[in-house]
Amino acid sequence: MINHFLANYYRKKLLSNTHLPKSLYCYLSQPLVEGKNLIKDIEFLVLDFETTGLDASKEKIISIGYTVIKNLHVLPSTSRHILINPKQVLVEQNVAIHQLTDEELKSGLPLSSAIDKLLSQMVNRVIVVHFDKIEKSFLNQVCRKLYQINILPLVMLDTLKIERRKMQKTQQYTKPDGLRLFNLREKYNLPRYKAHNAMQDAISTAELFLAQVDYMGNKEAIKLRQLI
Amino acid sequence: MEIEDLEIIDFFKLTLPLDSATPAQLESLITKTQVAYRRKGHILTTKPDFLYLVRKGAVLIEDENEELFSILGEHQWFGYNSQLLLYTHSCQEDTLYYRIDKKYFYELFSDNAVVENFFLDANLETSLKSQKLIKQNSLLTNSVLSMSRASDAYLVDKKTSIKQVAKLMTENTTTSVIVTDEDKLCGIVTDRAFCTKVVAMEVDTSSPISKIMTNNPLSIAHYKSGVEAMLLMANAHIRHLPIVKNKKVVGMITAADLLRKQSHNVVFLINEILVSDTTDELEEISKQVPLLLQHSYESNMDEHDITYSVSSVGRSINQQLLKQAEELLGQPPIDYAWVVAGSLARSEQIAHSDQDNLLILADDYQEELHEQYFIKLAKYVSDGLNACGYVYCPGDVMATNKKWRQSLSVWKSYFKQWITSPEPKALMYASIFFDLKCIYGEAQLLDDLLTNVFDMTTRNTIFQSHMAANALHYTPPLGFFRNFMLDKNGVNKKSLDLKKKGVVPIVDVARVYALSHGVRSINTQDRLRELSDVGGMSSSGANDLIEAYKFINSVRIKHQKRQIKLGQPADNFVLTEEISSLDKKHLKDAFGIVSDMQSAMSSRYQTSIL
Repeated sequence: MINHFLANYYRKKLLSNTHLPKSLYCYLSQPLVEGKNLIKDIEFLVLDFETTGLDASKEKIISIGYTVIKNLHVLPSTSRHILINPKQVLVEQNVAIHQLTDEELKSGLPLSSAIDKLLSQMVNRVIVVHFDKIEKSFLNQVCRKLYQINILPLVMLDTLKIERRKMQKTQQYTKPDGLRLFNLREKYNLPRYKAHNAMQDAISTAELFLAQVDYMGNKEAIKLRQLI
Repeated sequence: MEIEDLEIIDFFKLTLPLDSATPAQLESLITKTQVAYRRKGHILTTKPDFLYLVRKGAVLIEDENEELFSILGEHQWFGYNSQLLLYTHSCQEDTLYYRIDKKYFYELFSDNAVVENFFLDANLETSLKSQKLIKQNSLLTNSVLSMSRASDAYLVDKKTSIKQVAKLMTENTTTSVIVTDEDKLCGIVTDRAFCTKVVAMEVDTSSPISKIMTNNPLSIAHYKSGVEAMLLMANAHIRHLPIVKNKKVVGMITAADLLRKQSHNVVFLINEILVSDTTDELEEISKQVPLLLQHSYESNMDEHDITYSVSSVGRSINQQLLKQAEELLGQPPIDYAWVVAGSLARSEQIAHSDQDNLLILADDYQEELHEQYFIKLAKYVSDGLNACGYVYCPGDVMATNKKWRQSLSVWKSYFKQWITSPEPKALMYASIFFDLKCIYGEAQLLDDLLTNVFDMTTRNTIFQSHMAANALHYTPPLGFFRNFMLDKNGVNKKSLDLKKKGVVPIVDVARVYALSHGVRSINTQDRLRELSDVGGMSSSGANDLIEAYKFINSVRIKHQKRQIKLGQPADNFVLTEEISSLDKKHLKDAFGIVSDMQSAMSSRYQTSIL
């Protein structure tokens, strides 16, 4: 986040609103992690959303997967997969990708409870995603809808951007789909996972993040701002 | 959709020996599993607290000579053998790996023999491979359970009475017991508690032991290494650690167990000496003394600690020989004091040296009745010492010599003779017989003698003058660094006898002052410190002399360390080219101090009038 200062300013401004729901209030009451911090000391929440489409204004989140990185180690036991009841029938195409059926989703949580749960996980953590456009736009869209706020202040890293910057620096050429999660994992000799759901994808992203960080050199000394 | 759906669970199921684990165990294992990544060609840092499992990639293990020890791929473990943690682990490929809390892992599978045996077998295999390593490193990398002696752990229920526990401890000569509550560790009691709690606080001995135990003591898991146990003990200032496996006590590791694993350790050596039954055994043990020296040198021990350690070993050998002799000959018919003289008495021994010893017999000594006993006793000890490398005294100052095996009153008359008519021979004896220490038997006999002696030495100024003049016999080689002053025999050309020219003059000065001021300490540094306390010597003078003494000894020790390393017998002849220019400068200063002190002593005791 280039404008850490602005984000924090906005965060404090939001806090002055007296009608915040508890989960949002708790999240906002903690300062955002600063760029000068060493990443070995930071806790990361690695996120993946599954959505019914790309357009946040029209489509919906159907599941949220996440896992935690602490001391630059992924903690698999922190991994969770939250299904969201979309209150609408799924298009067949998405079912094929996510392997989630209407039946399963009907047993999922209402959107507001799912976001409550997510916010409680985001407190004091830096968010990591692969291709931040989806998660960012959907998260903001949801907050607009649920809490009437335009932007959720957060610090988010994007493994795709990290890779692209690295390649630009070394002037490497990449095929258009070379930056996809699956292909990048292969590049770093990471295992190929069968399952394709938000939780496993969050773990995949987390492992990719560890690999990228390790390739940056002395990871004990890397500061958060070097990854933004 | 939660943890059971993670791919890592599927991976665990395909990994030996986890294929035998239950789904619940695997899920539980996940809670203590972390995922990490290391890039190709880089070192993977391993910690003793974890087991490691390769998920993807390859890990290369190399020994200290960078020789390939093993390559591990997917589904393979490392870190279970703590000896191998000293080897270099590096990634031959980009590697994703899991690390799992070792303690948790072993506890989780404590009932699963398949898992336990898997690592035991793997351990055995790698142990065979790494025998070279085991030999080089101390055995402290073995697990604590393998190091503890089964008899070390005495378990008592917390309801047992204090009296019963005391009885159990006495019968089994153990210094500690573990207190359990339904088989689980709940406390520990060491013999100290009987002093600090039972006696000092007047606790009723029919109360349950839980009343005086230390609650929830620290413990160590059975697979941890001796090094870890040692660190734990050092940090917590404790000497006993219960060993637990799945919360149950399976043994006890003590500081003594750990020391026993270090054969070059002085405490170990003394311990071995004290349990030996024959001279042959002692002879074997005393062969360790050069090793002890070498180890002390290498661990950069202070010269005072080194000489103290070596002297302690010497004293222990004397004591054990006397114990053996008494067992052989029966109870002594009368009280006696076994007294050593010289560097051993002063705790200033560096290596094996001649034996100087004597017997003071109680005044009810009757030659016709008792002589045979003490002849045999002295012979047994003296022969034993000789076998152990403390060779017979060339001057025959040994208890085997009838002259030095006398009753207290005879000894008093000897000293009276030497002090009142100090002839050259008497003065030579004086320098030996004024550094005495009783190390076995009735110490009061020596005390009585010394009280008598000091009464004379502090008052007899003529004797003091003679002693002072005698102490000027050896002088520091002030001209040494300009043109080398060599010993007259010329054997050690361009070399300096640091003992005679450096150490002895200081020891002699300290003795003269001590005798005239009634200072009863015999260690040179102790003498100097006490002299400064009682005003017998200015504190700056005493301090300077102590520093000079320490420095000269440190150069001497450096020299011997070099000799031992080269496999040569250690001596005191230091070659000039061995000494660094900085040391030379300091040595010159040190000799200057000694020389000044000698002059001061000379005028203080008016040696010129003799």
